[in-house]
Amino acid sequence: MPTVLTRLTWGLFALSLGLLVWPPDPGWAGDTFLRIDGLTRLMAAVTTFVSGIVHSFSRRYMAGARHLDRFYARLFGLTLIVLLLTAANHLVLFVLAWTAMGWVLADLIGHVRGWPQARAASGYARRSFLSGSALLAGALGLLGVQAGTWTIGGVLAAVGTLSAPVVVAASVLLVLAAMIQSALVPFHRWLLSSMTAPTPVSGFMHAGLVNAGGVLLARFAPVVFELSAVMLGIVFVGGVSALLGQAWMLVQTDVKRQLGSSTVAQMGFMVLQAGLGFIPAAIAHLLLHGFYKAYLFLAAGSVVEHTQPTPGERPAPSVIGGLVTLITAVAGGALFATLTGKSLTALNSGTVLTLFVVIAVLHATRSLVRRAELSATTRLWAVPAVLLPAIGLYAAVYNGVGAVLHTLPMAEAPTALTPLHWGLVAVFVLAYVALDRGWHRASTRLYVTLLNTSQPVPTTLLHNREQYHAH
Amino acid sequence: MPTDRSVLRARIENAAEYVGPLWPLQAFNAANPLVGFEDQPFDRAVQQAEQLFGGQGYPGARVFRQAWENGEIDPDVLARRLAEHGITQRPEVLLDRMERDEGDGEPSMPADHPLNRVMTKWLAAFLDQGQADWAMPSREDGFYAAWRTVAPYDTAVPGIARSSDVPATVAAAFEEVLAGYPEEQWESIFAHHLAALPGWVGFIKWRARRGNTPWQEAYPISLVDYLAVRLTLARRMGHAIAPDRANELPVNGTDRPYLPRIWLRAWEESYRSALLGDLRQAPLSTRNGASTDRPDAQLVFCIDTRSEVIRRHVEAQGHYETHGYAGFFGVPMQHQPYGAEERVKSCPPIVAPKHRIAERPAEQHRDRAERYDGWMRLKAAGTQLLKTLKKNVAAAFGFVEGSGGFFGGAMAARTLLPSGLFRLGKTIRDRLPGPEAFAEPTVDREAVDPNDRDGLPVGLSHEAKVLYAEAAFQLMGWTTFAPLVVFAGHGSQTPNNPYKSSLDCGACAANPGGPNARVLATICNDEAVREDLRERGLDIPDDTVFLAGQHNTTTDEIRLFVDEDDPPVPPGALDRLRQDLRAAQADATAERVETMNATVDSGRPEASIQEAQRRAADWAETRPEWGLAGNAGFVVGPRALTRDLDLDGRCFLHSYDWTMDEDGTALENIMTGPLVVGEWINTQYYFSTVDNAAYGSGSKVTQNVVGKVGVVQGNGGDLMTGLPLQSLMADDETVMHRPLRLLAVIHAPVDRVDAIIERHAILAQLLDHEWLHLTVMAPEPDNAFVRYQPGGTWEAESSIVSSSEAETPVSPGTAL
Amino acid sequence: MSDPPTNREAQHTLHPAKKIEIIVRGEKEAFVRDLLDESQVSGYTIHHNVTGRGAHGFHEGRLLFNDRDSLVMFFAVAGQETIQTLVDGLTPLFEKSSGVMFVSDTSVVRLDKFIQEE
Repeated sequence: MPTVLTRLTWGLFALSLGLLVWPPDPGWAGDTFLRIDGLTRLMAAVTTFVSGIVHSFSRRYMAGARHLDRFYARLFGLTLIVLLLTAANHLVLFVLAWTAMGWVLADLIGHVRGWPQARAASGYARRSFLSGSALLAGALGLLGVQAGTWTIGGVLAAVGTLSAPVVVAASVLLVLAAMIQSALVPFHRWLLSSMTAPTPVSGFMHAGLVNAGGVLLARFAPVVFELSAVMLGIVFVGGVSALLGQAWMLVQTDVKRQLGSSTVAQMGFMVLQAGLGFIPAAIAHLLLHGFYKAYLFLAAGSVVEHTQPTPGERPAPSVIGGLVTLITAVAGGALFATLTGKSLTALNSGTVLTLFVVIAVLHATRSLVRRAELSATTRLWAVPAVLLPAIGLYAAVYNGVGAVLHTLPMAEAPTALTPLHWGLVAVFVLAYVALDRGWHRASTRLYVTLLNTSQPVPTTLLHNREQYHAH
Repeated sequence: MPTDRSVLRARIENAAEYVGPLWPLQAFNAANPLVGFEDQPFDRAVQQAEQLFGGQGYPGARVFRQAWENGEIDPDVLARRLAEHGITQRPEVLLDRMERDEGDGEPSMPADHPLNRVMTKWLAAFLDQGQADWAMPSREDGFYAAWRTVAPYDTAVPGIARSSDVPATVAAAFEEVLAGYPEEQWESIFAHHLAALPGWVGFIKWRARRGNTPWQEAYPISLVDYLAVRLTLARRMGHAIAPDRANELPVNGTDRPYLPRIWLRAWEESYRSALLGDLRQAPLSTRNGASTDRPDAQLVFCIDTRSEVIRRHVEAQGHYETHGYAGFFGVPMQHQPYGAEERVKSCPPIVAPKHRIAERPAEQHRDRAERYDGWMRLKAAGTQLLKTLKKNVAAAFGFVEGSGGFFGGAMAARTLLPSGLFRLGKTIRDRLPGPEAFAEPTVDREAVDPNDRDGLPVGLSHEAKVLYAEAAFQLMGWTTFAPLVVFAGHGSQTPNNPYKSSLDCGACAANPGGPNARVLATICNDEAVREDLRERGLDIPDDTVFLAGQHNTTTDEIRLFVDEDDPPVPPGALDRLRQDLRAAQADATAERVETMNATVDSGRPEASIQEAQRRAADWAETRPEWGLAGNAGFVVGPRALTRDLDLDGRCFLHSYDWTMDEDGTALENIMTGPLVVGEWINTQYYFSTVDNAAYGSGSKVTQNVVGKVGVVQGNGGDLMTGLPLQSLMADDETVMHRPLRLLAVIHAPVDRVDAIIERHAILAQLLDHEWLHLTVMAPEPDNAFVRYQPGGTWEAESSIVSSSEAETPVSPGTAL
Repeated sequence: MSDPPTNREAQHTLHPAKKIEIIVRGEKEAFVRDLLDESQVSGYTIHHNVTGRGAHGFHEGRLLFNDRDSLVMFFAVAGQETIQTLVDGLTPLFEKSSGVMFVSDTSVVRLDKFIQEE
């Protein structure tokens, strides 16, 4: 069975890739239940790719495990459910797929049935997912009843006719459901307690299933983007998770929870991008993050190395180095903006996106320029050698996603910059400087708070090793 | 130090005996998890340990059933063993009964344990070796003081508003918690709290006592700290200080006619008869003394069980002689790899390193070294860049977007094309030769750096060189030297594997043995050393050249460390040897892949090599090789005894010639050194197999590396100890490692062996308490087998071992 | 360590002191070292690979490949109080592990070398 399902998954990938390159005739691309649009095609290709990798990886990694058929059946089933979810047009089908996705995922977190801690983690995740499904059902039920239609297409077309309270209520419910699925603060705990899952499941979960929150927002963008207050709320919850997740990551001592914290942050950022009105940016982020995180999970056994207790010494900043860095960073941002067709002068929420690219370029350049042991010439060519392909590839993915999603309603809805946006940028810049200067280390309280708020559910911790059971 | 405190220290030291040390993953040494119980008979020890840790001490019914159905347990032996205890039921009935006795194993309900939860949280934070970017504050003050700093902010602990609410010193902490408990009760209190988290406690034990690492120096922790924190927490959190039944130390078990015990003995005896039966086939003429005609080359391998396989196949290729010697080649050294900051111990766990060996670029290869250094600096810069971007609070998001595509490509390549990656890695290594191609070990004594931490002298004095060279040839019993002598250390190759070091050389503290081999080869090529050896009766011919090499136990490739620009041996001879080693690799991998659930095209000799290479490069592979799984025997004697036998990779083989060792010094060193280490390895495999939860580390698929030093299962908790399931089991149902206690077979006169046991309490203890079995093959007059009996008597058996034959006790030194 | 003695005669006078000899298995060397380091003992001598016979059997000294099971002997001179601390710290240890200690009266020249001012 593993062989067959692995081949089937790769077959599905080939099919999705074909659909991505040669879009189907719009004539048969949809009916009441299913509809294949850009989002469907893109997510199908990405999901089946990661799923194919996870299937193939598990063929060796899980070899000899008891209940292997059950494992593969669920993995493959989950892949199909995600495909169904991205293609669903009927509201009820969407809710059913959403619920099934949570149910099967919770099952996989508790794949090791005989292990009490895995069961506890599975139970906690299942309760979270079921609440998410209930919220989603509430939102879609409200929309369906108010709009008088039960297809997503119909609802989205009717958004303009709905009353503000209905839109607000539905938006809030949708955002909450997305937050649970994407493990945003304060609903992050199921994800940080999910390490009882076999490693490949974690890889798939962090690369694929947490993304469903973003897909939900993308799907219902016309609803959640209807009111700018809701968009600001999305920016806020996304920003909080991005900041907190990244801060949690700093204090984690085990590799998997560190990756989990990072996922909370990256999902926060992805939702933030959506809140800024850039669905393609959010989707590009979730798929690139998916590759990144799946890789790191599958490679989680590689972290053992010899280390030395050297407190980080920071070289004194030099004026020239600083200047070079700044120029490179701005140039990097400008390059990205140009490649992705953003205006360099008009200030809107897109500027925030570009600013994050600038910060990444800035940090990369600084790190390279400061490597004293590299010769000056090496440093000179290393900076563009690293940055150009990275920015180029990202811009290409960004543009590709944008092209595939261009039919999606409300794909890009840049908003005006509000004090919240500026505040957000200020907080991240401040956090960047504080971390760089080591100011955070002065607060023991902050350290303990970060450690305590990122703990898993207590019953999922294995203190008495006799309780452990491998299958 | 006040008197109370010294008493406290001693009580803690005693209580800590119950928990074995746990090595970090970087150097995962094998050790008996029940080492603290070795002063007890095996059966009682496992009963005590079961009370303390809840672990099983004997194989389960499923394992016995597998052995029974495979015919590994001789029915006659079993019947006789059972009859001794008055049991007459059929074995199948007994297997069913054992299965019933084990219970249905209904998993318990998960429960929170606040005290353990808070302890493991802070232990993981304190003992972290570089995983977290922002480490626990105040670690430099020690564990207790650091905990005292964070405790006021820890909402999980009630009643500590500021640090001063907690005793200021460790001594004051103990005074507070032990008030009201008499000294007699201390040890049981301590043992109870130490045994609550045997994983973390074992690691602290290693780090505080054996580690001597820079981490311990920078952030000190001891079991005293651990107990001070735990007991203070217990008091605040309303947890009992003393165990339920006060004054409880594990009580002595009883001798019992316990079915698993009987079955284990029968299984061990069946293995013993088979092994002795094999050894009996050795031609009598070659049993005494080494052959005198000169082979083309002599290759010395580690005593490791994996060497048995490759040695057979090397010998089959031509006129080669192979030998077994402890894989650290008798050089107790600390090794500093080229370009590395760390200094790693490279000798057995029971030996303290006495020399530091660093690697320096050879004069003639400076250019290569510089080229290599340049690339390594670039690589380090890249690694550092990835790390800082990944963790930066604001840059991480843009970084993920810029790098995600590349990670996706890498993921596909590593998953779908592992064999291609192996070839790619080989190509890169060929283009950019590593340190072994240009660096040489600092074998000569250098001035001691007064600023150095542990002050080990760099290099060896002339006297030490002569000693180690002489010891090697004395212990192995050499008289002839081939034109070419190869010392082959061994190491594994496996990516993405936290337990990589457990597959490296156990005699080199879980490191690759190549560096040690280079040191001994360099010593033996030293003219001044040869001069002195000649005076001591070891005449090494002028045309003999010593080479070092390393056996890759995952791919069975043997690499020779030779300066290609200036080979010390005629190129023709070198080429021939390399060709034969390649052929041996093909044969050895063909034998090994059959045990690895792999299907390869048996018609193509390269197919098995490629399969082994795929495993060595595949990040998804949880069973790259079997390590020492299966180990059960330890044969000390000349190769002639085992040369024509296929021992299935289950035996340690130590070369020894009793006729060359009149005063028994060589044998004494073999029995107190390598044999003891063999027992450590064997018991680690044994206990990890019989209870993988309590003494092993569970399945790799749910493991999570914590602090870069250890493994937890899932979300965290106690550190796991021992080996992972995939190192021991062919699949979730079938054991690959047969859990048998080690059987030593020594080819030497009984009185010599007896005198050595008499002189060494450790040996008598291991043998009398049945942690180790011993049978002597007495060369005179007729290679009869004599078994050591607990208590110190010897039991001879007549020439043919037949299960029904009687064994008569004899005393040593009489009619033998 | 201390000012030069004002009375030069003191240097050549024999002073009474206590001598302790401790013999343990190599495994316990670190424990005894810590004990000595943290007491007021200003210095001590260690002999590795000591040969001897005791209640737990014979221990042979000339081992090349086992430092854990060979015997180690410590030798230190200190004041009465310090020696008592050492004895108190070692007595419980010997309940569980093999080893012995001997305390005897001895005399030392230059007392200040062995006993620090309290």
